[in-house]
Amino acid sequence: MRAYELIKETFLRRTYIWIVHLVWLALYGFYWWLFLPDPNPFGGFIFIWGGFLLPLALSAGIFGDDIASGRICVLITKPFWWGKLYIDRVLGLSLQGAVHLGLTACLVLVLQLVTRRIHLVDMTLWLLATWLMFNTIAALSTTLSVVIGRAFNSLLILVVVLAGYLTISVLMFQLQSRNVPSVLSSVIRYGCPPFELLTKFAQGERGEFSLFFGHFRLTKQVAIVIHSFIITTVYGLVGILLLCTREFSRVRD
Amino acid sequence: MKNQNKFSVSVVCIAIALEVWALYVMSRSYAHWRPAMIVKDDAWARALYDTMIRTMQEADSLSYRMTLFDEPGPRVSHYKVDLKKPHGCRISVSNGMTGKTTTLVRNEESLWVYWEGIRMYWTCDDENSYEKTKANAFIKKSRSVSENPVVGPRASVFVTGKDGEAGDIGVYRRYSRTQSSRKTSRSKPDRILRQAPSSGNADSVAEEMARLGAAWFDMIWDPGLFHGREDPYAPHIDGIRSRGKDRVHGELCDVIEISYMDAQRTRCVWISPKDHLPRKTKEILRQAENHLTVSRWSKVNLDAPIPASMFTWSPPANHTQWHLPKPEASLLKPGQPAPDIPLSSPDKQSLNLSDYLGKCVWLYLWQVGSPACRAEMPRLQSFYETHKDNGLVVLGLNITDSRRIADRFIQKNGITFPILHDTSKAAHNIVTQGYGNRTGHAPLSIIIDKQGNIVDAWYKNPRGHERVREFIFRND
Repeated sequence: MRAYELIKETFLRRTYIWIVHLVWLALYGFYWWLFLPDPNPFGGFIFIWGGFLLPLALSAGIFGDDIASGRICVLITKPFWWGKLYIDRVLGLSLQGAVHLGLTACLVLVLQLVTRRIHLVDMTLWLLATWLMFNTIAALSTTLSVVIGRAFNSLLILVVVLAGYLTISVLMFQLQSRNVPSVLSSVIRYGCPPFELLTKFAQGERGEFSLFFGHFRLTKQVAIVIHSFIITTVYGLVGILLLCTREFSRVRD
Repeated sequence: MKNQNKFSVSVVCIAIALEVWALYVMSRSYAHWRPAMIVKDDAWARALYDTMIRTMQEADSLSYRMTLFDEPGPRVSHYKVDLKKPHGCRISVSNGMTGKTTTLVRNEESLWVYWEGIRMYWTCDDENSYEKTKANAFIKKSRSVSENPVVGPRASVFVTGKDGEAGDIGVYRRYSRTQSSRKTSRSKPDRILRQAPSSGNADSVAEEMARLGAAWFDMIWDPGLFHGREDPYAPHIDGIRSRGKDRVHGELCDVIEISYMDAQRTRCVWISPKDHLPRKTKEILRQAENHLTVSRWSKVNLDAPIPASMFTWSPPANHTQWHLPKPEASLLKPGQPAPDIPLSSPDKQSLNLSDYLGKCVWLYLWQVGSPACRAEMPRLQSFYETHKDNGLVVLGLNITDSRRIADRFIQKNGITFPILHDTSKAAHNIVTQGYGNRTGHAPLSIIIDKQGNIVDAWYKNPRGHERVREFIFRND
């Protein structure tokens, strides 16, 4: 019951949450109406907006607000385990993401009926990739929310990802002649949120100079899904550890 | 509590195992050949490929622009191709780095090759002759319709040697077309009189350009397909499958993947639904290293009028005719000592050619990706089995392919004569500089006598086995 309450709370945590969902869905439809793109660009758009920006919007201050207001001490009373609170919150976010993408799938079906230009198999892969990315970013953001005050966890991730992407692009270009780019790219590919892997999971390999073209085999796709879940779990475990080791005050910040 | 701990530990171990497996699968690169790369046939993709070939063959004219490259950078070749039935062909290729342009013009009577300014330095050139012939040079080859009943009146031949001399003759198949319908009927292929000494047929326009070394990269699709020439790799297709759709220059194309020779060569082709012709082709050649070439087509025009003047050329007054040296010209001559080759055998043992002094040696340079080598190796195997007790040693030499691919070919074809496999720079230098195979072509046969001297050398010769047989019996 408590778990159900905590999960439900993530849906109703802030008034703007439903507005965000509606605006996002409207954006998908608007993008399609404006550009009539192919499955891959459309799937990519949903992946970025639904898989990266949406969890940031929904998880802003998910723990930060409760910590700042002192409510965290009310939520957790022994023998209730800190990790349970964390898991329930992330589960709530994940379910929210699933509901959102379910509505997106309905929108895609409507667009397919109207325009007959969407490849449903490709879009299914994109939606699955989006949900996996959503989970990973939600877990990362929730973990950061434990240590970053109020709602700044989401803003921090947004700034770090954008700045990091630019910095790494420049670094990779400058250090092309050495082995550093391959080491750096491996660390980023497998240690950071799996943007590249999930994009390739959905659209396949399409690089001009790659030695392969097209969708990966099922084995590789399953491997990417497993890796995505495990990296999400690792981020979650870090968050649980932080929750367990921190001491919280009932006094409002 | 104890059970809970055990459960937690089990879950963690399973998660770690799964992650290790996932990392292994994700990091497996396409750089290394695997049997899974061999494509199985898909009827729809095969039909798309057949339509593409048929479209090229049935068209009255075809022109396109093509860019070939293998990586971002200045190593680019730009092609302008204009083709017209029955024999018209005009190809200009400019080298992205040097800016030099080579033009090939062909019609019913002749084939010309000329350059803007100074001609390219060919692999078999030497410094002296290049200095004398580099400026204002052109190549001309005559073309005659043969009355030979073996060849037949509907075939056409190219004589690539000097006029009046027996040259290298290949035979085209010609397609006949009725006026009222666009159906084509193929004439039965006539017997090839004599093959050109290079790795393919001398009449291939793409091979002509490749032999001249005019561009960084050779054409992937031979324009000869338009004139009815069969793709030499077509008989070696493993399978063709669909790879979905992708945009090229804003046009949505169907993508098919074709693998050849157990995926030693793979082509991905982006085919336009508008005219069933390629807009992009990516070719991956798996040898000791992987070679990737991308070609992009643009300004594709099918059955558009092309003036006949495009397919004629007259050399200006100050131009002199240059005769392309034959590739054999740079090979070691009979009587010269064969350079020793320290190489490694498949079981990593060191071998020297000098270990075979006192025996007649047929040294055969081969490549898995060469259709001619693939056809000849089984014949060489049966020749070896027949004559190995007559003091003949056959040594296969591969300096190009990855060991895995070469071993697969050897096992599949039941090759039992010794194969030397060494892709090092040193081995390359011995073959290209020591033995004079400057063009790097295969197959190359070198016959060495018991004293270690060269007896004969040729690139491809249907009478090769007879020549060796005569030599063996002469030296018994």
